[in-house]
Amino acid sequence: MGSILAAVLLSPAAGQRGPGELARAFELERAGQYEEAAARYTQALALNPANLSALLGLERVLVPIERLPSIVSFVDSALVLQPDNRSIRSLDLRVWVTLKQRDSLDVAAAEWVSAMPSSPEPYSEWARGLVAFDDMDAAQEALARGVHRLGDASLSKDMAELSVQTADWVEAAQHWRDAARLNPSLLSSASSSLAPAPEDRRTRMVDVITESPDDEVGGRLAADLLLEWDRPIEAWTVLDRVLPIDRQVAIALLRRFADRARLVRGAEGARARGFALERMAQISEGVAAERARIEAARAFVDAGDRQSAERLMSQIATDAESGERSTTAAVATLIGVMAESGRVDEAEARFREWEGRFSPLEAIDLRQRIVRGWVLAGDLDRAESMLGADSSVSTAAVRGWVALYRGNLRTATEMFRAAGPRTGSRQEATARTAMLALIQRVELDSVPELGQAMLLLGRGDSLAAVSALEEAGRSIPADKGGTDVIAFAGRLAVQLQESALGERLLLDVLRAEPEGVAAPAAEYYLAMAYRQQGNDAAAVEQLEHLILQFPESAMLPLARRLFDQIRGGVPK
Amino acid sequence: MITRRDFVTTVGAGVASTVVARPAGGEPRAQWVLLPMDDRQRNHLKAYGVTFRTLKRGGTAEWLLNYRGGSFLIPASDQVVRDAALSGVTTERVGDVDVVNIRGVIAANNMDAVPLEKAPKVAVYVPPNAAPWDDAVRMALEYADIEYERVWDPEVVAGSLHDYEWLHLHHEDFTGQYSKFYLSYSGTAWLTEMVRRNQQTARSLQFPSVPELKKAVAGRIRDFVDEGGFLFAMCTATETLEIALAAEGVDVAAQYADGTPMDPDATRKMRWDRTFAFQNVRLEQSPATASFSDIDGHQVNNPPKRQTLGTATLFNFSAKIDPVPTMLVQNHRSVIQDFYGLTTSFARARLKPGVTILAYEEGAPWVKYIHGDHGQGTWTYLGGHDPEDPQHRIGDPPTDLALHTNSPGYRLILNNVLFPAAKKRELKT
Repeated sequence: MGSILAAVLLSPAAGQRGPGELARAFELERAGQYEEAAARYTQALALNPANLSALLGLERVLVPIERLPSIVSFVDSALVLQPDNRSIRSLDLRVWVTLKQRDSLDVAAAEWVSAMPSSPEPYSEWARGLVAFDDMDAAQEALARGVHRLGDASLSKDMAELSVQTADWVEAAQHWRDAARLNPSLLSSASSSLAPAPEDRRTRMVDVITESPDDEVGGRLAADLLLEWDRPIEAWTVLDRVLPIDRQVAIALLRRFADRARLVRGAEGARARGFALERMAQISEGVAAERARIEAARAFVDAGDRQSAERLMSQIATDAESGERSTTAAVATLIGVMAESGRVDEAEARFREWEGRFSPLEAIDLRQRIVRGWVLAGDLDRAESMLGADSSVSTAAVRGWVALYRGNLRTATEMFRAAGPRTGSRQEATARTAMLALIQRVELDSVPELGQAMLLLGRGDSLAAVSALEEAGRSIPADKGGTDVIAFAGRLAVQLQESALGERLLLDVLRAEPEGVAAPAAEYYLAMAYRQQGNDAAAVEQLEHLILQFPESAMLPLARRLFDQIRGGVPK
Repeated sequence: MITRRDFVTTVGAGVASTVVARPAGGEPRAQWVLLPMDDRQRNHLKAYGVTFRTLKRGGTAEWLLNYRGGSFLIPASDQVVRDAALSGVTTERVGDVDVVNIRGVIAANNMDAVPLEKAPKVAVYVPPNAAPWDDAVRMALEYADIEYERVWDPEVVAGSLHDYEWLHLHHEDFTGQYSKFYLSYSGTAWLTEMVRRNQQTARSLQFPSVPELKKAVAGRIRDFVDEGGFLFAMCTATETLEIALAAEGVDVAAQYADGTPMDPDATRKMRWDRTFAFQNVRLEQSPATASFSDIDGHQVNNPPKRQTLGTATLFNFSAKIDPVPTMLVQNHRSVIQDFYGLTTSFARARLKPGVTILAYEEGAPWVKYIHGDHGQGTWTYLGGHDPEDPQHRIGDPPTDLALHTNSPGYRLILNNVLFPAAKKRELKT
């Protein structure tokens, strides 16, 4: 090395070659020619021993060629010129760690401390080095020395990181809280570092973080963590308590919380989001307040909290004087909520009042929601009159359901066909197609008993629907679709976990038509019923029979899946 | 027990010596069932199960190497037809004349017919409390309904591996360092339980530490192969088994695992003459890096060295000359999507001479799937954790093989299960 250095120093053009050497060194390093790159970096350091880019480059290339020890003299020279340079000091420590020279690491750290006595960095880097030696106790001691000399605050972040590594979660929470108080930009690092804490430590951690009830930073950290841990309502309570007086800051915090709460699955997340948006509406003004209120109402609807949603929407509707777009949206949400919560009369009245201000698509959607409201209320006449003369395909689907509930199978079939297989949501389309398949099997134009049974089902009274369906099925001759209706009742009973009832109905079907169209589905749901009863052997026997007897049936993929699940061949 | 040596010396006799299987009565059967393994097969994975169960019932089958993706030919019976129908496996009924034609095609091409005669007794090395959903082989065995037994340290130390023909290892860390997750996942319930269970087992078997216990287990596994066993390992079991075998008298475990830090000179002291596949390996010294050595080419948990996933190409062997590696690469695809594991691949530079490369990434300094002989037995290593979950992270939902019934990656695993079933044949010479 000495000869290379001497040659470069003696070269007359050396002074002009500095930056060029470095660029060439980078190129060689990128090409994986580490030996050559090391020579170029060395030449650059001969011109300027404290050239940080050259030093760091040299460190990078010497590691893969296993020549890192040769960097030591260069680092020493650089430190003579720049003893306060943090990057070079840090490199010094890193080199000793890589070389596994524990004693030298301690010496280098001590030198750094004496060169920069008021800086926390030497302690921080020292501790990091000791962690690499897997000596957690010594790392803790190094940080403790720093704390002793400089005070708690300066090394809280390092203490926190070390505590996480040693799984001292409560201590880590306390250190992160202190670090974030000093520097709030560390909040997201703190929450992502603490988030993996095991469940049994979490409550204690939150207690420590929120020790001081008015501490805004602690509250924000606790709220973030509680959201991460799927405890959104608690998160909201903590955040609400520490919201700052500064309106803009508070709004930004609330928006962030609401966005993060959206990621929490389930009603609780939606509810917490609703609370935050409602609070945002309270401290915002004008259109921003109204938008926040609408968002809050939607969040409450998602959470199933219709009362809160209505409270907000009524407020908007009452306050709104202008016909602005946001107000129209609020009223539309309100009408939907009212229709779904049984206040169909009110929903219809408000719809008639605002109808002209809705877009055509909005109006169709609301009309259908009100129709569903009337159906749920059992008033098919008002449901039908609400549909008016609309001839859209989505309205055809709704007309089909209304006709079905009246027992008018011919019209229901026509309307469902007109609606086609893709109208509405995927769930709606699937339900409609399944129903069309069933009523097409019934070779009668009108069966009011079947309509009544389906209406019970539509209104959510499923168990009563099963009995009504059985009765309707028995009133229809077996060869005109009666068996299919009973099979449908049996399947519904199994889905309601009424396995004994389901078993009885499905066995009736299989006795009547063991090879009929309804048989494969009946066998499948019968196997499910046996499974619910804990009789896996009977379930397997039934499934084997189904697979072997009806190899072309569309039920086969479902049957095989259940078969594999019972055997333990696939995860449940 | 079928030994590898018996197997290798007898299996390569070629199609000419293959006798058409006959039922017990001595009369040729008119009908056969062909389980095609090309793209016409609806459920490749369960086809292995149907074949395995046929052997288990005392029946016979033939593995038609390279014929329509490595199809199986089974004498027709009600049981086979029923089993295939229940499993959703595509079958074709063929008569004796068709079989003669098939044999003609096999004779004229790079193909061979290997008789399968006995279902191997399968053991999977796994802790007693482990669910099957984090182990690709157990998932494959469960899904294909192939019978296996579970063994763990107490059984292995007690010498019970002699009872089995085929042993599978998945992501066990034979260095005893809990996959080096000790620092990054400290405090998590699953890791705490893993540590507790391993320490308790080491104590009960009177070993001073978990790393020492695992070294002893690794030694028993080597003896198993030495004596004619078939070993199949995946993921990190491959790399750590080799390290444990080479680490005789060397402390390769971090302080948290055995109370003393890793020997700083461990790399130099390793005895690679004691291992199956690798040599001149450099060990990872940092306890905080979830990587063991430079055996793995991808280093998934070592961000500065992590490599992206590519594809692995299966080597096309000569079926009549190299029936064993040919069996191990039977597939309806010649290129498979790579998948990560704690050990994803094997650095070419670390392979011992004589190791057979079964799958490799074009132009990359690593290979995916390797095989070799040791003593009277064989070993096969497949890198990666789960062929249908390329990124597999801790806590990911389990893979549902019902959604991957044609998985080429899982076929590689199942090839290994059936390969010890191949019939011993007398050498022509």
